[in-house]
Amino acid sequence: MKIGFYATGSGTSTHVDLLRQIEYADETGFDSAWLRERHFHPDHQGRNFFTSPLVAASYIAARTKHIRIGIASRILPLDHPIHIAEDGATVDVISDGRLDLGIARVGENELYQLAFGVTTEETRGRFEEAVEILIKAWTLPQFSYHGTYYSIPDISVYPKPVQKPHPPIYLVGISSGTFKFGATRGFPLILAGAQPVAIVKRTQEEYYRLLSDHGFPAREIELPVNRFLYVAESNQQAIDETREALNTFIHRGATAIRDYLFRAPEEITPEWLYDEVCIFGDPDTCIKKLNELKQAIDLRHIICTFNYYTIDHERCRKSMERFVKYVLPYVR
Amino acid sequence: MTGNSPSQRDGRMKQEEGMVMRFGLFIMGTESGTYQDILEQVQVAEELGFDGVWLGERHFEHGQLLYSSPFHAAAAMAAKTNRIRIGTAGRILALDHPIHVAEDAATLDILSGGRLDLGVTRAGLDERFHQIFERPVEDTRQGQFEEALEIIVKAWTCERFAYEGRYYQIPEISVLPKPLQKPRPPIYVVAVSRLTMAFAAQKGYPVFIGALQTPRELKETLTFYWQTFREAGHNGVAVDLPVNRFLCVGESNAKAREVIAEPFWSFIQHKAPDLKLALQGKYGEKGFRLERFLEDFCIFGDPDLCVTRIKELQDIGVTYLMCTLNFITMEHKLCLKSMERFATEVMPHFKEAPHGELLAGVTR
Repeated sequence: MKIGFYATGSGTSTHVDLLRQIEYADETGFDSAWLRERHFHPDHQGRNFFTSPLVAASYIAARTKHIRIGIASRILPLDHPIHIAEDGATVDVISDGRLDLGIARVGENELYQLAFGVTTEETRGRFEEAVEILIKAWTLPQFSYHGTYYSIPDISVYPKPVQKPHPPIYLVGISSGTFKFGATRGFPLILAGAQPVAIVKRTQEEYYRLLSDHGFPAREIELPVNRFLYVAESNQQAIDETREALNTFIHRGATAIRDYLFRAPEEITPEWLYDEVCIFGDPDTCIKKLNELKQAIDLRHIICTFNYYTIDHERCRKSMERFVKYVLPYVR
Repeated sequence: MTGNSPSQRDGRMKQEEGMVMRFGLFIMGTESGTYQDILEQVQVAEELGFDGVWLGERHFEHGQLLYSSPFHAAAAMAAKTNRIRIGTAGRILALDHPIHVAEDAATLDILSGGRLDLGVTRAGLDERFHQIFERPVEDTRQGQFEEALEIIVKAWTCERFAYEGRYYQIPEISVLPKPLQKPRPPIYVVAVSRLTMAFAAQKGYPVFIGALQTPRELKETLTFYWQTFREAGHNGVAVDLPVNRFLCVGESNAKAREVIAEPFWSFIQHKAPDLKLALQGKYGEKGFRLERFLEDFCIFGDPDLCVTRIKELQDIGVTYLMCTLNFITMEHKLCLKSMERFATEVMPHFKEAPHGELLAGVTR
């Protein structure tokens, strides 16, 4: 099983905290670190680098040696696809071939599109055209493109990425339209952290079916699954130290992603999250929960979120250390 | 909008006592080398005591290595250095949304510990850049550039803002992160035309002055800038105006010319269409000869000659020399050697204290 680290950042963590977490993940043998794209977001109060994940990725590439650097995800319609191709290839060159590029169609809310001057209605078309342009720019010595939204005369785009034919592209999304499009391309889908196991299982099965329908060897494609983790000294400590974070999630985060959870608001409680979604507990409990999860779903690549909402850097770091020492050797 | 912060004043004050000249290194790609070579040049520049490195922006067949994404290249350079300032010279504002530029630059300012200088330019060296990124070059002359710059400053300095312009309409937003430098990172403007130069001087933004000005033209340019700057009500001289020069320091004048002639000629012929065009404009189609260009604009020679030529520039008021010691067509080792000679044998003549301590650590 591959182990990823999702650099989400909490309400109090600074960019230095996040960089230390990623460097620690690199040193202790995590396979991947993932960065998100967010704009105009008051939660992080400007202490982080989420507006510019590829800029941060370049910095991280120069500071790390082994870990793959994932973007989950760049929102394609907000930027020109040639910029994304150039910036992504630059990160791939700087990291010597360690970029994984996740892509998404829309931001967390309408404001993203409004501020960058695109309408939400045209994001579907822009997204699909941008993917085509991105791949052409990365792989062809020269190309031209004439679509509804982008028109590009004959050009060569540099630099070319180090990875051949091109860096892996991952899909982040929840709409059936996005799934269908991703499956036609054979992109692996990243599954969201807050979804209960049953939903993850259903989504994986649906996506594998779509991949097979389009002629891809579905089971050879790894679908990374994001999970919240907290490794404490005892189960009680895990409950105590995550309660505030879960309540914050319920009151703020979950309202925004209720569609993800497929549950009525009153059913989303800390207990339910603890049982169905999160991998919290002492090391033995976490090993047990992870092994059960491996039985239940396809878990060849887990992306672990350790730092979220009110979990500060200190707690995150301790939880990561316990994970590395007491859990990782028994689940990999 | 106001001019750059007075945090840069130190260098200028010392300069007024006739002592100090600041030195930046303009970083170009390398045809024969790798990204690691360029990164090494930046690390060596820091060790040798250069004040800053500057990155250009180019696209498509002009691009090839690290030009297309100067902020991303700069982020890696920031990760590998501690002191040297890192600047763009400049980002082509027409090709990207100003909110992206503000966000990326603020991120870079944070990651570098407040070492960003944002140099911006109205248009790219090839009109096709504008065609492909769907921002006609005409727009840049009719207000788009000025709007973009205004949005960047607002995004950096205002808690919340909305913007209704001809080219950009932005609902009320709060752009985060804010840059580390307060009130904001310095902004430099690439100014080729007098119009752009006047705009920058009125706003208090320092300008870059290109490599193709004779000392006499340079003096006129400086006089024009500072006069416009003062007429706009800005006080004093808080900023350096980086003046670009092609340099190569060799053992002797003849050796310097010998090693540089071929790569430099190839650079002009194949990699610098803007420079070639400007030279043809200056000398006429037929009058353009390398010897003449070297004599008029380049500082290629032994350390003594370089010191003399830079002193001439200093005498007409130049306080910041942006050195192009690296050409795309130049061998990495040759570039490092020239940088080292420059730092050990030329720079000390213009610094208050020789860089003895810094240089002790350099073994190349």
